[in-house]
Amino acid sequence: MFSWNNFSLQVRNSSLYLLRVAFFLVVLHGVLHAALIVTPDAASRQLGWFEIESDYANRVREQLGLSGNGTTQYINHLANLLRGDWGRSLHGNYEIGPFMATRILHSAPLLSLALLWIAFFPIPLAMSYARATSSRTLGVVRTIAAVGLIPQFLAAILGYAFYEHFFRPNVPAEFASLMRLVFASGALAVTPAMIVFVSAADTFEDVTRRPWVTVAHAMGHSWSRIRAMMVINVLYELRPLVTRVALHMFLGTAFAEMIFGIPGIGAAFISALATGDTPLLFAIVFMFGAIVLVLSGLEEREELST
Amino acid sequence: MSLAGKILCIGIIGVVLAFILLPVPIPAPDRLALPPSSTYWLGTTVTGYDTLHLVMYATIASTVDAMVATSLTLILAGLIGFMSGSLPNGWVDRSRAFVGRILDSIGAFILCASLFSIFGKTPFWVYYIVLAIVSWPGLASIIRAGTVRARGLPYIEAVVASGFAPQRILFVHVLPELLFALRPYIFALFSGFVGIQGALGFLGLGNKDQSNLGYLLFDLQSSMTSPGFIAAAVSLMLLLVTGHAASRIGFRRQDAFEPYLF
Repeated sequence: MFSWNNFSLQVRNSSLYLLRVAFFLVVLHGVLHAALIVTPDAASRQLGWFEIESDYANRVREQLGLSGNGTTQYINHLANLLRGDWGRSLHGNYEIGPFMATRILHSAPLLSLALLWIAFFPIPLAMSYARATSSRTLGVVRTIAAVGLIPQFLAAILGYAFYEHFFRPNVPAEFASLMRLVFASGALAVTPAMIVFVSAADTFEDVTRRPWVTVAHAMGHSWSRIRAMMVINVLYELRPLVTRVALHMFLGTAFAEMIFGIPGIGAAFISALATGDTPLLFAIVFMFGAIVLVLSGLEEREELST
Repeated sequence: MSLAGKILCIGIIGVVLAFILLPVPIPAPDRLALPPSSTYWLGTTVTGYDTLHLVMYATIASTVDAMVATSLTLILAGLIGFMSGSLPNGWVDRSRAFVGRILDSIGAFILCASLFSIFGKTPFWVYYIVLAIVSWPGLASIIRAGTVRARGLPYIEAVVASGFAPQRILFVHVLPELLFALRPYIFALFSGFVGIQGALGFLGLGNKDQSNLGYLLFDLQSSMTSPGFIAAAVSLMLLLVTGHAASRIGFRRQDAFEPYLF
């Protein structure tokens, strides 16, 4: 039933949440601006331009928004960002906003597929771990989980080697790109899936011992229904992992795209690292940090923790 | 000292001694790109290095790098966490939570990689300091939680009631207990640093003079099927697994035998 009190409480909580997120985003922008744009004096330090023509150096400084004092630079940068102007790339001189939009579209299938891996692989594995009684089953599951210890760049290299040597010669050409996507997403998902598995296994062990499981069984509910309820409980308890998984997803995307040659946002990040393209680097890191901040804010919302 | 502590000390001394005693790999023009043989078990590189020697040296360098970064992070996180926990909800505590949240949202690797990309080649001490500055929040919040909890323990209340000075209580009674309980987290941090340094090196970022496993992988990435690349990758994995295993064993042991501080 509708209640004005509840409604006003919801509006208040949502406004507070949005305000907090906005505040954190402004601080994040300030930190990244200080670290990536102002501190290194952008291009001159990176490229070792010591004896360069002053006109050219001034033009580059203007282009990077480094022509005024620190406060002016910061406010200009923030104002441009709020207007949707992400600036121009230092090396390619293209507009960063449209460039990132194109790259995100390229990364979308890879990330979607990786999310499917993360959603459907670790939870059943964790369930079997929690239910396992024989040491052999436990050993097998632990060994599978240990695969997740592989650093993401090594996982991507390993995935690529498997794909190149065993699958690429044997699959028809029209499926080659799909298989490449499957392997890249698998390599990307290894570490996040391991993180989910380890926490889910502990949570399953805890949930199976909760009194309501015994009560539900005594009331005559089927085991499949009880298990479904347990999965919902476990997923609910795993909310704090969202930010860690998001962090590893981004890292994994960068390495998988770099090694599998997918022209997505992760590959753009790696190429910006290699060339020292500070505006592009800033844009990608800020966008990613903003996503993680919004997600971590959602985790703490009171309405979700009832 | 417990048996695990003795093994750990021997391990640390062994790594430091190996780092000092193992000769620096030197290239020789008469052994360019040789296949594996009884003299050179993993062959030689195109620049004339003995691959096995190179991998061993890089493994020890990686271990030392990760140990230095872990120690610096522990000191920084210890100071911040300790101050936060001593005065919960004070300005230090709130600032820690705030800064920690911002740093956590970007992630240690992404921030390190971005900074090293802009700074170019950095002196080795800057490399360690940057790693420590971006990695302290997680450990600091654990130390803060431990300090807050320790303040309420009966023996701490007893020493407070006995009239000991706050510094003595902090450093003689609280800190050793905290360090004891922190061991599993320290191993996890070590393992994390091995991974981060491997990935940074693989991208050629940071200080290339450090010759750790990441930079070895970077140098050999043109031939990913070469014995050197595989051996370096396996060594990196073994280091990571050792750190993780020590961390897991520490947690299990803590759950089973030791007072539950966290």
